[in-house]
Amino acid sequence: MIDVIIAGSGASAVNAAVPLVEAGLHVVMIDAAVEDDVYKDIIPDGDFDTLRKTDEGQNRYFLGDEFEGIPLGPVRVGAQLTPPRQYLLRGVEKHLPTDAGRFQAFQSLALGGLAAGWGAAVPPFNDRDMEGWPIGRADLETHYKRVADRIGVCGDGGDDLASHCEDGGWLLPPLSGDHNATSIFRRYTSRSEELRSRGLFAGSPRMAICTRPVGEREAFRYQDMEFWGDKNPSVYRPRYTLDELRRHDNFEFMAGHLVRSYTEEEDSVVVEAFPCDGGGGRTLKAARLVLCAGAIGSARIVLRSADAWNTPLPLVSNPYTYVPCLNFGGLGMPDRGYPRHSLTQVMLFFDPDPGKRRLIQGQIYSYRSLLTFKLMKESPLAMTESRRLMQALAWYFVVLGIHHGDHPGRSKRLWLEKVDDDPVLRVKYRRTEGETAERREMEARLLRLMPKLGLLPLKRIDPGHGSSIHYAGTLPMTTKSRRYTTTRSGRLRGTRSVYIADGSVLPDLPAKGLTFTLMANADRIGSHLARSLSR
Amino acid sequence: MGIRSNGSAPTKVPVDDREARILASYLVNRLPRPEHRLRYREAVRRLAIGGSRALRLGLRFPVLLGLLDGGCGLVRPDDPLRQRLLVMAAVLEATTDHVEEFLPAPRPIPVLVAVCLYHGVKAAIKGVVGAPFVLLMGRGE
Repeated sequence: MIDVIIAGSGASAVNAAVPLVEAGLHVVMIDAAVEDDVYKDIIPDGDFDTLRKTDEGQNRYFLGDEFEGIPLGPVRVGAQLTPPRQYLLRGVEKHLPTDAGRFQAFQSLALGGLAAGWGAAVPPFNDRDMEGWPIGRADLETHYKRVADRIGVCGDGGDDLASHCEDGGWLLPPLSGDHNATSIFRRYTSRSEELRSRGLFAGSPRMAICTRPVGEREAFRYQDMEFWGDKNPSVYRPRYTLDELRRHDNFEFMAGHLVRSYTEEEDSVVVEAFPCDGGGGRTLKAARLVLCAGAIGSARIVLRSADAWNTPLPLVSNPYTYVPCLNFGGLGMPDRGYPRHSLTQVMLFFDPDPGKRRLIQGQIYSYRSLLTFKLMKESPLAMTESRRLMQALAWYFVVLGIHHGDHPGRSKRLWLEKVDDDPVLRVKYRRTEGETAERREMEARLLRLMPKLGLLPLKRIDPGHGSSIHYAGTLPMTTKSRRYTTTRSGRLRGTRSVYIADGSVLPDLPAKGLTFTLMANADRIGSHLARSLSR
Repeated sequence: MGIRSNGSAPTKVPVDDREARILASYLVNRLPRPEHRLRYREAVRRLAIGGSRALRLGLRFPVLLGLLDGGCGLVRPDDPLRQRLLVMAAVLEATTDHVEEFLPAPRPIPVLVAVCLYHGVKAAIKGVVGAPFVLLMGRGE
């Protein structure tokens, strides 16, 4: 019999699998594993500028074979998904029917899940972030370290973020910043005492990027092609861990299948997996099942297995705001050949009331490798002048992304409904007036400080609920014995052999990006399971 | 404000080589290669961008394109004229021939100020003069 079946192949799944496989257990991972079969081989290995100036075939990956890279509609969730990344959404409508109203329930059947196209920011949580949870930082410490050693995490442990991103000595050297980061840090450093006293902390982003070789992955090459491809495998993707897992004889990967439901037997669990391209399902029996299909996906599997129609589960999602800014502090800076990349240049924490839990996280990106015509689209000016102006100013454009924390509430729910006998997941998500007012107040206070960093905020864009693509809390970890919750060790209450090791178990979300904690918690749950099954 | 989808049905407005020449000349002041013009026509067809009075008038009298574009930018950002100009800009930007016309680069502050002032004022005039014109003309084809 199989020891453990893992549903999913994303950041949680592969990190839950590692301790199980290392313990010698027979592990089968099941996932749709959709891959890009169009663009990955046509993008040459080169830096952005060189490809723009020399590759005659660049239109295929920059615009897409169907011109899907020319967005005529409004700015939407996943707007950063370039044609080579749009496979992340393939098959979702068909296999994961969802009616989320105005909530943007971004799901993926891709190999590596949503982390196949993530921004790679990995700030760790501390006890303050996990207030009210049944686990604390001490429970995750060794797992953060194990995951950091596995994926490669860079940052500057001595900068002003250290008080909010306590690291356990796992950091690789920080990324080098570009001209925008250089001018922002210059201004921050000259006013850091004042800014810190007003609650603003800036530093080198904590990123899942190898700035020196880690295992077979090479050091980051600053090609500025992170939105387009993974030729330089230094930005972590779950498939790198999956490749390592596949070298073990006790690990099997069942691609092209989706776990739909499970049923428990006395000392085992029977899993139904269906091929994505049609045909009959397969049943597999294992001692344990670990669901890592994402907070929305795992909730769908649990509700379907329990035959629980119209049963609401909680849902939390970091509210997200974009603020394009002009970096006037960098105007006139000569091009000294600063290294370039498209990921976070500067990480910020705004923590004006340390006694309260309402910190917000900011990430500053340079706008460059998403092409100038997309800026022209957002401009109300005539196109010829827009082109000239955007070409002149894009060098100094940065985008500030702001994440807020989120807590469960009565109007933040998902449930499974039968529509013409087919299961459809419905989402209702509304924030209270108090939450919205606090968000606006915090953003206004943060934006008032931006000129001190040389940034002029131009426009506040709220892409809508769910747009952070951070979802959690559907099957929360709690000490209270309630149905559809999980124990401290990740076991789903009411079951003996079903474990949840993804974002579903996080009871709420602090403002910090959740993926590092998802991976560490998955490693913790996998380690616990490995110990209990090895006895 | 910016270009928004108008949910047009697949275009029945012919997309000919002349249109590609006119729009490219308006945007970058020179003619693109035939394969790039063909790519533009293919993109307009695939993206099913319809037609409008502003587009028709602009193609008939290319000298008016600047006013029509500036006016639409202010009062009708989803007009097919703007959408087709955006598609042409995208097609041109993703070519080695025209990349330098789009690739951002640092400039000394006086040059930057001069560029912003000159093109900003030009754009403002086009918008202010063109907007009433576009409003009077209406949306239809």
